[in-house]
Amino acid sequence: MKNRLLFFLLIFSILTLSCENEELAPEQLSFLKIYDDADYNASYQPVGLQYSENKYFILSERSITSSDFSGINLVVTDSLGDFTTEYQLDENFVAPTKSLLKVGSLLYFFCMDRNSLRPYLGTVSTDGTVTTTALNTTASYPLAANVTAGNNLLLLSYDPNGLNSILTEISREGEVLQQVGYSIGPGSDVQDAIVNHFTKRSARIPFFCGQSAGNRYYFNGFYNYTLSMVFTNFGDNPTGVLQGQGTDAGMKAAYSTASADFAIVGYQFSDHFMSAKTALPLNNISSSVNLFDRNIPEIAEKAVCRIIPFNGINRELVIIASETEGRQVVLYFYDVNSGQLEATYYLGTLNPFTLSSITSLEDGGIAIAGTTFLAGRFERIYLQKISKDQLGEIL
Amino acid sequence: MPRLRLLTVLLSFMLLFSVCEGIAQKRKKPSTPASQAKEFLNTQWWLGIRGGTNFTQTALLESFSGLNPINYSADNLDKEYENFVNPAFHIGLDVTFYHKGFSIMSFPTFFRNNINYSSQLSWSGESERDQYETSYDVQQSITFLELPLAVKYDIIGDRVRPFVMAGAFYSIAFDANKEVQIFETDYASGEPVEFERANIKLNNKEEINNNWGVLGGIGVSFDFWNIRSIIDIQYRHSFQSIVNKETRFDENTFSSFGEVQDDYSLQNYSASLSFVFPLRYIDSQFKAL
Repeated sequence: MKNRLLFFLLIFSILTLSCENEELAPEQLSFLKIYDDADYNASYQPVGLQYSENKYFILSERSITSSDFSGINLVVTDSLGDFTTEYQLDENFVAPTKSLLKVGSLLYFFCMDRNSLRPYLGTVSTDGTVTTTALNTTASYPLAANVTAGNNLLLLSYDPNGLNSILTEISREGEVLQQVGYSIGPGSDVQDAIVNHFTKRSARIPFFCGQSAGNRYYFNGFYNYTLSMVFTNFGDNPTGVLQGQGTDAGMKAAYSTASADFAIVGYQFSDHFMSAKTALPLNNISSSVNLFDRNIPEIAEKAVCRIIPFNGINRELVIIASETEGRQVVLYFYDVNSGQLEATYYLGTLNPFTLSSITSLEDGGIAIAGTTFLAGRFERIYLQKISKDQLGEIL
Repeated sequence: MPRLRLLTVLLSFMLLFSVCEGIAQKRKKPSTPASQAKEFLNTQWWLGIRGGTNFTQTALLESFSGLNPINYSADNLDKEYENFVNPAFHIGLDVTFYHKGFSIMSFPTFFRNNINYSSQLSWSGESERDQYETSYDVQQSITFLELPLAVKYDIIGDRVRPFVMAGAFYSIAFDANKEVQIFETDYASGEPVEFERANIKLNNKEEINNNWGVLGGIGVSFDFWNIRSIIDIQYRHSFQSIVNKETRFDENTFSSFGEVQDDYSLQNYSASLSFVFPLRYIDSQFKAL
């Protein structure tokens, strides 16, 4: 009897071993998904990524025959990154800003009418439908956008008639709250550079705008003959300027970590430099070349750069994302307080990977969107989630 | 956790053999040479080595792809599996406790399964020259440390002993390698031109789960000199996916071009040859059965 009991215990222990592990919740899983289109001539270039109401929203540019400017697509996936729907805006709307903004559960972006060049505010509801609102402004060419501390929207645009860079604070309903224009300099011809920014990928200019932790507004745009990072209180004149050198040098991305401290990526011709803790001239004039300390050789010449905050494991971090000469996407994790590099992570192997947007998720992970080239030639959107657990391993 | 499981399995086997030994000890009596010979014939331990070849087929449970089609059916991304085409090998030990025609046996084995599948992608435009095709030919090899437990019955007992057997097994994923050949077909000149773009082979053990299932088989034993030679044919059937769903969509070399594994279970036919030796009461007076 005792032997039988032992024998059954043996069988039971083997069967127990064979039980499956309990399933992990979706937010605990990392993934890489690629969204393929069977059209030989289709090409997608995502410009913005957000996660809202358990869905990923990827704003992307698409080629259209009616304009040299890009048309607009919105790809929606579920929380696991599986494709749900694609929404194509009317071809009258072109040239989306290179970001998808989130306030509450709604998403926002700016674009323009391809005939009048008038800026429009696009609002994305949680079911993926897009509504557009014309902005009451004389500016054209929406160049960059961001969210202000008061949850309004900030738009950098260009006035081709007055030759001004225009910074506008706009309510989420599309009402202009305040606006200021700064001259790009008499006789300076930036029109071609701005049009090429929209129509030629190789001629992209790193426009961006935002509001610092000290409530100072800033934009990276044309000012006084050159691409400059301009600080302002919406007064007649800027409070501070970080000058570049034409379009050959300047800032590529900046994120405010304290009143005057920024995490930055800058460029000097083909070279790049970065810092997670740099004081920028909010109240004086300086030059970006003064911030150049060492070259980051792996960053490609025309690389896109993005900076987002990330609350790491017991650390306050920023993630500086960019593209390498080896056609990979690279993530640098920096400690905000010490300015020290904590970890580096690369995406992409066989096929090239490019960076478009990166966002942090409420579950502690991050998501990255960009393009990869299936079979080395078909440009398609990818979405990669790096879970909180995986980030813990990286860090 | 895998270490704990391995320890538990080893302890289970030790428990098994202690049970068998207990049975053997219980039945031991003071014996004469004649009764000793009879007991030797009726109760015996055997230990040896075994090896052989096997063929695997997969049973698809659910299809997955790293690609999400925007404007075509996901069915176009389904994989085609080749069954019983790529032989693999296995080698291990054979431990058997025999008593009056019945045997309880285990044969811990390094058991490799070879799995072949392929998938295709295609793109087309307005002109015939706007066509392009890609195929992924995948060879997945998985080595398990298999720990089976089976009962064998000798149908007739003599120098040639046909038998039937049935049991269950638990397999610990030991190693896995995946090789993907990427072939491209370009119609740029109107006619298809095929070329191999890449051949990538990498370890992917993290994508494979441990496995379990049932097995059955037939065979025959031959007793010559002090060695028993056993030829058997076995069929293994598992019911659950061996693919780790937690790592399926992880970013890696394979997922970066859309190649991820389906959920599938394994079925396998194997042919093995064992050489075993009697362990109990062996001396120069006795010959193996």
